[in-house]
Amino acid sequence: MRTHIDVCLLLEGTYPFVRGGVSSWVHTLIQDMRELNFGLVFIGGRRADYADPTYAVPSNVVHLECHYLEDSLRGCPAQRTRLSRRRAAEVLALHAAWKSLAGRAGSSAGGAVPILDECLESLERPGGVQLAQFLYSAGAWDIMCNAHAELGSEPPFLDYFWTLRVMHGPLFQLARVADAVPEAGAYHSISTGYAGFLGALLERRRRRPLILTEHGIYTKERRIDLNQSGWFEPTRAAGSSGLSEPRGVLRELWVRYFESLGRMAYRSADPIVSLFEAARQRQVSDGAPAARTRVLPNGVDPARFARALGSRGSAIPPVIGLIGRVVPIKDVKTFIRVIGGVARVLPNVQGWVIGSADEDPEYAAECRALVRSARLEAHVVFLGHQPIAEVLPKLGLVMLTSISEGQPLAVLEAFSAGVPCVVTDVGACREQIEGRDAADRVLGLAGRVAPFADAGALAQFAIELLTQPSQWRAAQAAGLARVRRCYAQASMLEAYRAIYQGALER
Amino acid sequence: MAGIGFSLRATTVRGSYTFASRSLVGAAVVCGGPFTIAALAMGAIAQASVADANSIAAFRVATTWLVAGVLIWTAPLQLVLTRFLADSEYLGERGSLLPNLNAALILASVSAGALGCALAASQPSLSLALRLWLVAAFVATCNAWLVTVVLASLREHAAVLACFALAHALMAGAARACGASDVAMLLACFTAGQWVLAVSGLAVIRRDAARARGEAMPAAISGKIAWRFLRTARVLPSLALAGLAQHAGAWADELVFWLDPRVSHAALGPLRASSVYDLPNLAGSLCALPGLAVFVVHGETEFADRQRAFVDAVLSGATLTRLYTLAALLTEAARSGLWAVLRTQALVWLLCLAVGHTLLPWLAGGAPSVALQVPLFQLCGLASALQTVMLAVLSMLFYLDRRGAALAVCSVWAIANAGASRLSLSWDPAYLGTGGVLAAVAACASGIALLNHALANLVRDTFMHQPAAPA
Repeated sequence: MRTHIDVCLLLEGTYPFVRGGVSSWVHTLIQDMRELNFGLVFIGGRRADYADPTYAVPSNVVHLECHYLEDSLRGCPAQRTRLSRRRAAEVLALHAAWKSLAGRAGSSAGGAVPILDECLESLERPGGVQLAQFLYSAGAWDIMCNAHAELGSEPPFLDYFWTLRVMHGPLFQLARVADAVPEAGAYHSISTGYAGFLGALLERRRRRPLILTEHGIYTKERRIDLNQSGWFEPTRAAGSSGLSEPRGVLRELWVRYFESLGRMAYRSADPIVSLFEAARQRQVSDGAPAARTRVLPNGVDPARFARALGSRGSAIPPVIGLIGRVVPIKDVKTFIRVIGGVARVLPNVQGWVIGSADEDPEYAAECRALVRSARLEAHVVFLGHQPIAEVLPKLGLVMLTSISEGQPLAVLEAFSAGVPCVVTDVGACREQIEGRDAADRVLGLAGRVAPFADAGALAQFAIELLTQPSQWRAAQAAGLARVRRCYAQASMLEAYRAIYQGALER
Repeated sequence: MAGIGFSLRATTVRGSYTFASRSLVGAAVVCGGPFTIAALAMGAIAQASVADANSIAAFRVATTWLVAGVLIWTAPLQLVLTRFLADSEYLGERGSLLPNLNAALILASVSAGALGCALAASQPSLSLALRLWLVAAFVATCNAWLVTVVLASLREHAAVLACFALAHALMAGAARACGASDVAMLLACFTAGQWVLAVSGLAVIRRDAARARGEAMPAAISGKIAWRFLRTARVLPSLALAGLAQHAGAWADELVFWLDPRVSHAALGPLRASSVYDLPNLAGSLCALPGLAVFVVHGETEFADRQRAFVDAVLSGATLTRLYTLAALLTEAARSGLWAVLRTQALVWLLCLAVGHTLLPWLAGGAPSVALQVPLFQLCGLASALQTVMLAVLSMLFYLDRRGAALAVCSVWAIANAGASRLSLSWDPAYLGTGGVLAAVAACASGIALLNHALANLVRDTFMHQPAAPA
C-alpha cells in the first residue's frame, strides 16, 4: 500500500543531488514539517551528472523519482505517422497564442486562454499531439518550415531543426511524467523552467493546487548561460551572406522558450512566492498575475550559529571568505582580484573560497591558474565544501562577488554568526545589507554593497571594514539585529505551513 | 556503378566530342565487356571442341541455366555485401573487406552446394558425372560472380576484364586440349574457368587490400573470417529482397518460356530451352548496352555528384533555401539523366527495327527460320531498352536509399514480367514478346512515380525520417 503524499516537490537540478542554498532550504523545509508526507520529483539534464544524493533524505519523504531530459527523444523510433489538419491548426493557434502573450505583464496574462489549457490537457495523450507526430509527420514539417520562414535571418537549418527537436522533446516527456506522478494533495515547484512546466501540467490534469517558489529568476539565469555558452559563435552558414548573425536567432529562440515555460508556471500557480521585492516585480513583468505573488524571504535559524557567534575572539581576523560553489555565476575570479587588491594594503590578508569546486572543473582550473599567475598562492585558499558554522568564527568578512543572486543564504548565515558582508548589487543583496523597508533601514548597514565585477570598489570596502574596528562592529550589530527581525527561519516555516494547509484544504 | 563514371569522368571533363565518345565507348566496353567475352568464349568452344552439335547446344543451355541460377541465388548476398563494403569504406574501416568476403564466399559455396545437391539428387535421369559437374559449376560460378561484383565495386574494371579474358581463354583452351566430347567434360572445363576467374579476382583484391595497408604483397592468404556483413542484412532486409526481386524479374520471362512445353523442349534432363525465345531474347538484350553506357557516364555520375553535394550541405549547416535549391538541382539531374537514356534507347530501338532483318540471322549463323523471329527480337529489344530506364531509376532510388521503393519497383517488375509473359503465350503468336514490353513499361512507370515522389519530398524526408535518438 502506497503512503499518501501530502506535498509533492518538483525539483530541477537541486535537491537531493546538488549541494547548494536551494537544496539546503528544501532540506530544512522537509525536516521541519514532520507532520506532512513529501514526494520528490527530480528533473536533471544528464544522468551521469548526478551520482548519489548529497543529502540524507528525511523519513517523511515517501516517494522519490528521477527523470533526465537527455531521455526526452529516446524510445520513439522513426515511424509513419500523420498530423491531421485539425491538429495542425490547433498547433498553429497555440503558437499564435504564445506570440500574443509574450511581453505582456502580469495582470493581462492571468485571463483564461483556452487553447493553452487544452494543450496542457491533451499533450502526449490520444486526443492531442504526440511525440511521434512531432518528430515524423509531414504536418509537423510544414509547421516547422512556416515558423522558419518567420525568422529574421536564416540560421543553419540543421541546427534550427535539432534546436526545435531538443526544445519540444522535454515537453512531451514531462507530459508522460505528469501522468505517472503519484497523486498528491498539492504540488510545489521550486523553480519555473521544466519543473514549473511539470507543475502546470499536474495542476491542470490532477486539479490540485500548484505552489511556486522562485529562489532565483530562472529565465535570467538561463539567459546568462546562453550568452556564455560557446555554441552560438557566429559562423558563416553555407550560402548566407556572412553579414548577419544567423546563430543569434537560435539564442533568441531559446530565451523565448524559457520565457514561455515560465509563463506556463505563472498561469497555473497560486501562490507565486519570491524572496525579495525586486524579484516579485520581475515575476509580475514576466507574466505572473500580481494578485497571486508574495514575498517570503528565506530565514536562518539563529540557534545554529549561536555557538559560532559566541566563539568569536575579540580581534577581527584578516580573513575574507567567499561562501559559494566555484562556478562562473559566483565570479570567483573577481574575488581573487579583490584579494590581490587588499593584499597590497593588508599583506596578511587571507581569501578563503569555501565551496565545492566539482561542479565546473574547467572554471575551477582557470581560477587556480589565475591565483598562480597573480602570485597569490599565499593569500587565496580553496577549501572545498566546509560546515559553515565552523568556518564563520574564523572569518573577518564574508564577500559575495556573484553576478547574479537571489537571496543568498550565505549572507544571512554570516549575519547570524556576527560577520559583516561585502556584496555585489545583485538580487536581494542590497536589501540584506541596507534594509527592506523604512523600519528595517533604521538598523543600519550590515556591510557594504558594490557594483558587480568592480574589484576595486569591493577591495576598498573590505579594507575599510577590516581596518576600522568601529565600522566593523557597527556592521556586525546591524547584521545581527536585521537577521533576528526580518529573516527568522521560524517565521518563514510558519508561513509555508500556512500555505500548505491552505492548498491541501482547497 | 558510379565508380565507372568517376574514373571515366577524367576524359569527359575535357569536353570535346572525341573525348566524350571515347568515354562512352569505354563505358560500353566495361559494362558489356564481360558479357561479350563470355559470348566469344562460347563461340570459341563451339568451334574448337570435338563435341557434336547436340552436346554443344546442351552445354549452352546448361550454362544459361547456371548463370540464371547464380545471378538469382547470389542476388541478396551480392547486394548486402556491396552495401556493407560501401558503409565500411565510408566509416574508414579498412580491414573488414577480406574477412567478410571470405565469409560471404563460404556462405555462398555452402548454400549453393546444398541447393545443387538437393536438386541433383532429385534428377536421377541424368548421369552422375553430369550432375556432379553441374553442382561444381554452380558453386564455382557463385564464387566467381561474387568476386567479380566485389572487384567492380572496388572500381577495378580493367582487372575484371583481364580476369574474364584469362578465365575464358583457359576455358576454351582446356576444352580443346582435353578433347571434351560430352556435356560433362565441357562443364568441367567451364568449372575450371570459373575457378580461375574467382582465384585471379581474389588475388587482385588481396593485392589492393595489402596496398591499402601499405604493404607490398600480401604475406599469406588471410584465414580470417568475419560475419559482420550479415548485420547489414538484418538491418536492411529490403535491400536483399530488392536484389532478389530484380534478378528474378530479369529472368522471369525466360523461365516462363522455358517451362511452357508449347515453346520449349528438354535440352538436358530437366533443363529446358526455348528455340522460339532464347535467341531473340539474348540478341535483344544487347540493346541495353548503349543506354547503360550513357547513364553511367552522364546521368549517374552527375546524379551522384549532386546527391553528395546535397548531403554535404545538410551536414555543414546550409540554410533551408540553399537545401531546396540543391534538391531542385538533383531533380534536374535525374530528369536529364533519364531523358538521355530514353533518347539513346529510342535511337537504338529504331536501329534495331532497321537492321533487325540482317542482324539476327548473322548472330544465329544463318538458319532460315530465324527470319520469323525478327519481330520477336524487335520486341525483346524494346523491352531491354526500357529495362535500362528502369535500371537507371533503380540506381537513383538506391542512391537516395529508398530501399522500400526499390523493392516495390523490382517486385512490380518481377511479377509483371512473369505474369505478362505467361499471358502473352495464350495470345496470338504475333504478340509473343509483348509481355516483356508491358512489364518493362509497368516497372518504369511505377519507378518514375516513386522516384518523383522521393525527389519532391527530398528535403522533408531527409530531416523527418531521421530517428530522434541513437538506437
